[in-house]
Amino acid sequence: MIELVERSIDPARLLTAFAERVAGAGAMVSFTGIVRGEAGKGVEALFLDHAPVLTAREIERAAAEARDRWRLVGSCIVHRVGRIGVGETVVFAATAAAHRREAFEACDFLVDFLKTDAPFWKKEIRRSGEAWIEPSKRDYGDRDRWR
Amino acid sequence: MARVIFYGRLADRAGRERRAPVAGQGETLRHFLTRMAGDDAELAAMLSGQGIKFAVNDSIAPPETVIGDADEIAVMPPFSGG
Repeated sequence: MIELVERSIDPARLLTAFAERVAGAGAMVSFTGIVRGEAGKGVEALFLDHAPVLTAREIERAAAEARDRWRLVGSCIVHRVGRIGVGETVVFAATAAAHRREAFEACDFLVDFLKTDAPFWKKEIRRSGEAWIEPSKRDYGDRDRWR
Repeated sequence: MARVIFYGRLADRAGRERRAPVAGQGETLRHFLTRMAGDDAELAAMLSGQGIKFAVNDSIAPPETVIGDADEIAVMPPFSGG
């Protein structure tokens, strides 16, 4: 399941729904990404731009790759778009497989993909103004582990 | 007229959407965008900058792609989600 949403995300509710959907799997892993305050920078919110059809299509492509590579029972990605306040969930990702290693790796892979390879554009809204943010060297390094 | 949609910081600079005619048959995306930027050297530099990606009709496409007047073109700076 892939969703791009403007409303707030409730990770606990999503995890419960996912668990019901993948009943019978031996392992389930989830990741919740939360907007950091970055106190020193005065960040008040993020703004996520996206290309509706293309973004969903590219995430679906990565989910299909994960499904094949780690023989997943299921996966779930819900990503916020628009304005997201500090402390709010920006992304929820979950994977389920027969065994834990496959579920861990697939979830890690999907989150790395979302950081650097999914068509999103992230802007920090700070007290002093706005700034577009690009992935760090570490983010690209994390992504390259899967190649 | 092809429809061009800019994302992220490019939208701040170029606006969200522009329309421009494709120059006959066989024009590539790269050539089309260079022509569209015209005298705006700063925009031309941004459009050909490192990490800029393109999509034609919601599929990622290289700048050498031949486009037509009915196409929708996305011009995208480096991706950053999560």
